[in-house]
Amino acid sequence: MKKSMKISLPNAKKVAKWEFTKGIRTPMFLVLTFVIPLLILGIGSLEFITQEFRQAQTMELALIDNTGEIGPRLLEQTENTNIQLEIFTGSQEELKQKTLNGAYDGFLIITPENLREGHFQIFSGDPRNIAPAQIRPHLEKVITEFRLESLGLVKEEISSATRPVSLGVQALEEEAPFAIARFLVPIALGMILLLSVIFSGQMLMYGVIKEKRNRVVEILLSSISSFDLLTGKIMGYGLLSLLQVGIWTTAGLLTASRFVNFQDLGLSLEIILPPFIIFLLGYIMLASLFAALGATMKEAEEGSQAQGLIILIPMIPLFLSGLLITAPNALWVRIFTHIPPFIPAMALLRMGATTLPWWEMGTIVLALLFSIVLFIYIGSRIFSRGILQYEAIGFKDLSKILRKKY
Amino acid sequence: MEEILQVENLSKSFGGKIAVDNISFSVPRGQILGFLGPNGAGKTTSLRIIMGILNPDKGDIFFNFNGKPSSLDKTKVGYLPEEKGLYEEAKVLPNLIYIGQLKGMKKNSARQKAQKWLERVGLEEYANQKFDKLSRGMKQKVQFIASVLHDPEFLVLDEPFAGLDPVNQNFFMQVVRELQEQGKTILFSAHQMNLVEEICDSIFLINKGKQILSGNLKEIKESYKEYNVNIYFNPENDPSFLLDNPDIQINKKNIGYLNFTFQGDNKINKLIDQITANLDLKEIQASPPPLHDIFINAVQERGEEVDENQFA
Repeated sequence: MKKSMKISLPNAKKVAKWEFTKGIRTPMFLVLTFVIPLLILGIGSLEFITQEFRQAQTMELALIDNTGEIGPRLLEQTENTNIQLEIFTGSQEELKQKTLNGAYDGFLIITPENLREGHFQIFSGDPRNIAPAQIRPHLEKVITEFRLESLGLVKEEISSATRPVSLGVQALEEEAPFAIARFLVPIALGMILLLSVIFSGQMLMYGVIKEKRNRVVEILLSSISSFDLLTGKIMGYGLLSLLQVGIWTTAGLLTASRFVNFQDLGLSLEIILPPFIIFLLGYIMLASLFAALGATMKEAEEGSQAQGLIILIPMIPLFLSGLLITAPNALWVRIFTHIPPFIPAMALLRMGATTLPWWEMGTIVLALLFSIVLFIYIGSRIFSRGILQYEAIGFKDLSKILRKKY
Repeated sequence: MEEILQVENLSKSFGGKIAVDNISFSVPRGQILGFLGPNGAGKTTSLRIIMGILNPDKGDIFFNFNGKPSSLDKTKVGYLPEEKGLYEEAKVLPNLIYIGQLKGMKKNSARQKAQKWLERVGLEEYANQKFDKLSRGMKQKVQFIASVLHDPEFLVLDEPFAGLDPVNQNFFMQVVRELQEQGKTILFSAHQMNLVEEICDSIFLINKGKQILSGNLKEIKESYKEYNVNIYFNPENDPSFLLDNPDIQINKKNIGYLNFTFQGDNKINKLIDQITANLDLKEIQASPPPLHDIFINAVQERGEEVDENQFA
């Protein structure tokens, strides 16, 4: 009557399918899956709307030009922008009154002194109507060109002198410039992993606790082994999590596409695949840990408190990201990358900071696989034992369960 | 007779407390075996070990399916656990289909069988109702369907009558009898002995983890040469000749009525002749002792105590 660790994949698949179809209908999943993308899209749209709004808002400015040089140039420079500029020929006091009466949002005085010092002031009845950032680039360009002209430079020389400077980084062994995706993809997957574990890991743990409380576990274990049951549950919730991540990523990419040109990131399968493997195995490992944890608990409330603490442990590397990124190949970093709860976060952070050698990718994947089997094994043992008492299992019971046959 | 299950020297303890203490029994194919004892006797632990949910500390379990010795084949055994429950938020039919699939059934076959069983127990209207919306009796019926859906050869029912009203108890007894008629073998545990003695072919009595008595129910009852006798007679008659009989122990006495226990080996017929000759009888009932009394006697003969509250 020895229980074996042999897994029946058809049984695990049946459980996975059941958990997936059950989980996808829960309000918690629907809310988390669709509210978060809506928030992402909402934040993106908000940024877009404010940008559009700012662009649509016209700033009416008057200008007293005591130099006689800057006014016409600035008028030409701000043509077809949302700055409506008018050169005022009356007195400063008159302009002040007109501005206070609402004829202009503000006015600007250009004198030879402030032209020399480079310090300008916009006077306004309500400074909230003034966006200095909108006019500054135009003013800066006009004044720089005027100064250079004053030094005797011709138009082509000025154009050459004011050409913007760009700075890039080139990997020595690659012909193409360094792909920013090498940094972004692992870091983004690390963040998604954190969110997935918080949300679907929590659902998985509650599912396990609920099954114990509903007493359904005994009839399940009379049909299949606890190992198949827990493996199936992790598979089901893993699929749910992938679906969730897929929806979130699509929403995130749609929003980001407004601001970022994806071709510039240098995305490729070679860049995406290794961190994705770590992400996937990392999720399964942490989900197994949560399932094992759920098996020890009696009430969902107890679960949420304990889970808060447990979530922190695998995510400790995120708090040390500064250290990790500056020394991604230090010995202590390499060691911690192979210790179960820290593997996924450590590996993803390191992958963002450096290129891991192939042999280390291999040992990390092996360590993850080993941890998954270990956690499912421990969880299934606790799960079987737990049905006898329907109570929380303490550390004392845990060691007994793992040492003795049950 | 071929045995579908053989349990040998089974023992199990939890944290130093012995739950099952060296018990052995077998279940003949096609029979109903009542696994009886008070609450906490070790019945559920034994059945969980048989179902492979727990490992024994000691002992062996052998199955015999399709005439061949084998280990536990969960697809051929139906199990109704003592702690009953299914997925509360899921509907009745999907719950049953899922359990059927775990027992190796195809989805369509599980659906058809589940619908037939729901009709059989009068719950066809509740197929698409959430499980947690059902009454306790209904839940028990659905749980029962989950244990028989895959048409198992061998059925293990742990306290199937617990918490049921008399109407539902009778219904379940009728279904169990039907399953036996279809050739199924049934092992069920119960603590309400009066109920189960009506349908059992054989019994296994357990108390505090220890085996008390086992065998064919009829033979056990016959071996107890003791009768419970009720007589109703003309109130003007004098029954004092019975009071002087050393084999008779009077339990209750009224005008025109007597209830007594007779321990007279094979002399019951002689006693009845004597009663009919001396009294103007309206009615006489002589029956072997109830299973509950047999259990109490058997435990006491071993010098042990029985907590009567544990039969509630």
